[in-house]
Amino acid sequence: MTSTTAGVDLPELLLRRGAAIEDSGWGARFHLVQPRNVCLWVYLLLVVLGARTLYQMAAPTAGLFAEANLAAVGSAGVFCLAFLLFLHHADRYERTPALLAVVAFVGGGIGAPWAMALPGNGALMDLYAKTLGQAWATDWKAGLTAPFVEETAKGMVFLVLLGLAPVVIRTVYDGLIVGAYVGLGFQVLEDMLYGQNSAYQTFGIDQVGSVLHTFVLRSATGVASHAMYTALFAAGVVYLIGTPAQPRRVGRGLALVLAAMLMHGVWDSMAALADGHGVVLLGLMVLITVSSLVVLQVALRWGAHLERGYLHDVLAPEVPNGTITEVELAALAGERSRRRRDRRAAIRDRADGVSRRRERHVLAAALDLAHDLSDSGGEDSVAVARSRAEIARLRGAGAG
Amino acid sequence: MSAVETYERRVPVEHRWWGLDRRSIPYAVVAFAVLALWAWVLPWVADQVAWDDPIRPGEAIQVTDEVTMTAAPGWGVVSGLRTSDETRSGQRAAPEVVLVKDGAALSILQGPFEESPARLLDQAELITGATVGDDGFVVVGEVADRTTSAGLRGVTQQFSSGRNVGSVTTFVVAGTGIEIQVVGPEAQMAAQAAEVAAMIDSLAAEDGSSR
Repeated sequence: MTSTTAGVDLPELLLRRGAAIEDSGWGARFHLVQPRNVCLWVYLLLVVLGARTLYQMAAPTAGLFAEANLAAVGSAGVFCLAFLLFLHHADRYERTPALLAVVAFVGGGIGAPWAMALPGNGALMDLYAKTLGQAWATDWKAGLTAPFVEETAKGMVFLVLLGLAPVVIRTVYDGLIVGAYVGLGFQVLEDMLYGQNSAYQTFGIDQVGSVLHTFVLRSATGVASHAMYTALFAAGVVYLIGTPAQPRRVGRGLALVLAAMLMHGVWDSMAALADGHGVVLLGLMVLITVSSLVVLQVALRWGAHLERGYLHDVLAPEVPNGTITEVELAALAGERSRRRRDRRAAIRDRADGVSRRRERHVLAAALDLAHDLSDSGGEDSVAVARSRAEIARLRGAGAG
Repeated sequence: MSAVETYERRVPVEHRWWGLDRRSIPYAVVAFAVLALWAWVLPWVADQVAWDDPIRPGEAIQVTDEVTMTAAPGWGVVSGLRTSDETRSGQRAAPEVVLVKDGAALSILQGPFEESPARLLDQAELITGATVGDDGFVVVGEVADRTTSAGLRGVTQQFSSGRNVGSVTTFVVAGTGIEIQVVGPEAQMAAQAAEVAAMIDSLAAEDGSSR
């Protein structure tokens, strides 16, 4: 990967583009039905076992808790929608195939919690209570169960997806995004369970109120959520295993996996750690939320380095053919430390008559072009031609 | 068909093993092992470790933050906090108490509830009926008043469920509903009847309120 196109001839740039698309797996399609892939059968087993447990738990009281279930679906749906918008925004380098996102969400929502986490949590919590007493278990069982059981359960859903989509999931950034979809599925289905539990604990009276109360509490503290933990865990798994694009880095992998588990554990043990002090509890809540965001930022930074290099190589041949400028390429795919400066430079050096806003649109359209080039394997296609024409139209419209 | 599609749809010959994609096996084996650990192995291990936390003479259960119950010695605590338990979090009562003895189980569920004990009993029967199934839960006899020694007033109803018999007794104390279900085979229930009655009778609010 290179940081400039100066002095490199077009055939060489095209070769680098092809290599970048090959290495990154950008544009690769995801097929779920791969009967010869053993991961498919493990995935299906997880989902079938999970669906059976979910049905057995929810079906008998579905009518009785209909209001709670509807409120839970609605409130969890709002949370889900907000997070999906964020993921769509964060997924800037390569669009995760929609089918893979759905499969990750279903695996995370059905397979991980109901086939693995529910029996595993129950058994481990029972063991704590049996061996260490009820008072100890009351304080620590959640914090010393969920990080091990739930994080590995979600991590295994990600692992089978890695086995099913080894070409699509190649980078740490892929791990962050696909992991977040797995965690989002877990979070939404867990929120629905908590909603029904809260209705159960109020004996079925004021179901909507009790569900919304739970929803507000969980959403207000929702930054440190399953989606974030699983994003970090999955990115760690990519580092630990290594892929054709991402060399194995055990230290970083362990750091991310342990960070996800540690933050989850501390979050679930907050009440006990605070020892009854409200201020300490609030402080811990803020500390974990900030720590989560910092770790996520670090992981994004680590992951984005590779992605920016690929983006550079995919778009570099568009400089000699005049679709974008060298400055615009730097603004899109330059080093993070220089990106703001490069972006400002691209806007400052815009063509005569092109507004600042229009130049930002040009940069966004260049990203679309990169996606289309990845989809076509770097070759010219109808979509690529349209994307180039769109960039020309934006410049022309701005100048006109 | 592109190279990528070929990769996904046809397993290269050097990666085939009994018709399967050998590269997928390590991922699948690890994921299956974790599934087996959480879904089957750990629950089996937990089953091998017996509950061994019997109530000793003089011990009481903290049913809600305000209500306690003197438990009969010999009953095993599966879930719930004693009045003598101290937690770091400051939690005094568990959402659910479960005590067991010789096949009989006494469970107490508590949560916010502002209406009458009779209304709570209706809700408890609805939820239990739905959970057990219509054929498995049949109320027996009339709803009766139940007043504890400390003056807490509630209602109670007998039921049968398959081979088991039992009762649901409900109280509402200071905005908290308390549902006590006792269930077990008929013979065991008869043998434990006196202790069960004494436990329910011992239910008392610490501030002396008696809704």
